[in-house]
Amino acid sequence: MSNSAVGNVYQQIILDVIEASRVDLEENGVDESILDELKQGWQRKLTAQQLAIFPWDPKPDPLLLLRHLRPLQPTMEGTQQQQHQQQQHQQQQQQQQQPSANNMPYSPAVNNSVAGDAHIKAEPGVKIEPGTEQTGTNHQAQTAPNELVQQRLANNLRNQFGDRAADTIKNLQAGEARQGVAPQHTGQQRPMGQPANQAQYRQQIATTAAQQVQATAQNGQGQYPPQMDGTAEEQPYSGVLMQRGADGETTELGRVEIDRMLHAAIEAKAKSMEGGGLMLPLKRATKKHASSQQISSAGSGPSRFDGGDDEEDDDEAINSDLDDSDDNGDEEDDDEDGGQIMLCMYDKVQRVKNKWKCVLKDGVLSVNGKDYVFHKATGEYEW
Amino acid sequence: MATDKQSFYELYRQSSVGAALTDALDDLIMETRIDPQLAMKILANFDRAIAEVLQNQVRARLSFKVPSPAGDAPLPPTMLGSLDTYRFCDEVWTFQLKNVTFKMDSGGQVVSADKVKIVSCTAKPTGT
Repeated sequence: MSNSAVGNVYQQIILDVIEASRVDLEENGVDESILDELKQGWQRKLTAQQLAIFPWDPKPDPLLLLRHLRPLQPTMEGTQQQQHQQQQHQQQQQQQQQPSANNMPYSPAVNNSVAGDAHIKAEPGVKIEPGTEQTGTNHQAQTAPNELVQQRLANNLRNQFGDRAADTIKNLQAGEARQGVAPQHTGQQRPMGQPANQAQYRQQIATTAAQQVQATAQNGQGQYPPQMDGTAEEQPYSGVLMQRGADGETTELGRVEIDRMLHAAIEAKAKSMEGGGLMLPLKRATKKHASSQQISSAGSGPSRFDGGDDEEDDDEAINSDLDDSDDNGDEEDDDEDGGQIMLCMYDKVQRVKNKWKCVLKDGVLSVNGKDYVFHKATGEYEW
Repeated sequence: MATDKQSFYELYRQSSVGAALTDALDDLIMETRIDPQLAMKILANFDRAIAEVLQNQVRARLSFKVPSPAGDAPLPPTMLGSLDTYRFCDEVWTFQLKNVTFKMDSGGQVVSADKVKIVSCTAKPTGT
C-alpha cells in the first residue's frame, strides 16, 4: 500500500457519489450542474489538504517545481555570482536615472524572503528572470548558468520526488521555453506605470530579486503589487473580517471565529428550511430554542458590525459562552488526536493478557498529513 | 434496489475525503443552492460509495505494531509504544495507540506516528 493509490481511490469514490446522487438531485428538482460544482469543491478541498497526489490535480508542473526550487539556486550557485555583479552594476546605473527606484511598489518583502525558505513563493524573482534575458546585455551571462541550474534542478527533482519526477525532468526543457513566454505577460500586467521603459523596469525587478534587497518598513500593505499566484503566507494582514468590540476597538477575527460564524449561519438556515429540528440530535434539538436566538444577536454573530447594545451583549454572553463550551467539548474530543486517525472495519480483535491482536479491513488511515487506504491490516500491540 | 435500503456506516465521514465532501456540501447549502436533506442523501451515497470502493478496489495490505519492551532490540522508554486506551461499545472498537509504526506491504514504505486513534466497526453486517 502506498500513498499513491489514494488518489485513484478517492477519485473513484467521488465519481461514484456524483453518479449516485444524480437521481436524488432529479427527485429534488435540482439542476445537475450543482454536481459539477460539488465535485470541484470537493476536489479542491482535498487538494488543499495535500493528502496525496490526486488524478484531478494538474500534473506536477515543471513551472511549479521550478518555483519551489529556483530560489535556492542563487544562494547555492557560485556561477550566479558573476551575473549578480553585472546586475548590481546595472542597477546602479538605473538608480541614477530613477532615484526613487527603491521605493517602487514591487514588494521587496516578498523578494527578501526568497533567500531563506524554498517553500515560500518567490515568483517575482523567478518569473521575471527570463524576461531580462531578452533585454540584451544580460542575455549571455544568463544562459550558461541557466543550463547548470537546469541540471541541478533535474538532480534535485530526482532526489526529492524519485520516479514521479521523471516526467517533470523531461518537461524541464520545455518548461524553460514556456517560462520565457509566461513571465513577460506578468511583467506587463503589473499596473505600476512607474518606469517609462518596460524593459528597464523588468530588469529593475530582476536585479532586486537577485540581490534580495532589504525589506523596507515603509512599504505598507497597500503598496504590494497585485498577486497573480495566490497569497504569500507572510502577508502581514491575513484577517478578512474585523469585529468591533463593546469598547469600540476592532479586533481581527481568526479563521476559527469566522468558521464558527459561518457554521452558525448554516445551522440557522438549515433549521429554517427543515422547519424545526427534525434532523438534529435530540440533545441539540431541545437546546435549539435558546441558541438560535443567540446566533442572531450574540456577540459573535455576523450582524454585529454596528457597535451594538452593550447590556444585551452582556446578558447573552453568558448563555452563548455556556453553549459554546458545550459545543467545543464535542469537537475537541474528535480533534484530540491531531487528525491521526484510522477508520476501518474489524474482522477480529483478540486479547491474551495484555497483548492485543487485531485484523482490520477496508480502512482509511490518515497520519502525518498523508492518507493511506488498505484492504487488510493486522496490528499487534500491548496495553 | 435492495442495496439502497441497506445501511452503511457513517464512520468514514470523519475521514479526510468525507470531511472534504461535507465541507463542499456546507458551502452549497450556505449559498442555498441545495437543501440540507439533499446533502444528507449525498452523504448517504458517500457512505455506500466509500465502503464499496474500499472493499472492492483496494488491494493494499498494511501491518502495524508498537515496539514492545519485550522486543529484540532494546529501545529507550520514550520510543516504546503502547495501547493507551481501548473501548468496545456498540460493536465499535476504539483504540488509542502511541508510537505506532505502519508498514505497507507493497513498496515497503514505513510510516510512524506518535499517536493514532483507531475507530473500527464490525465487518459482519456488510461483510458478505
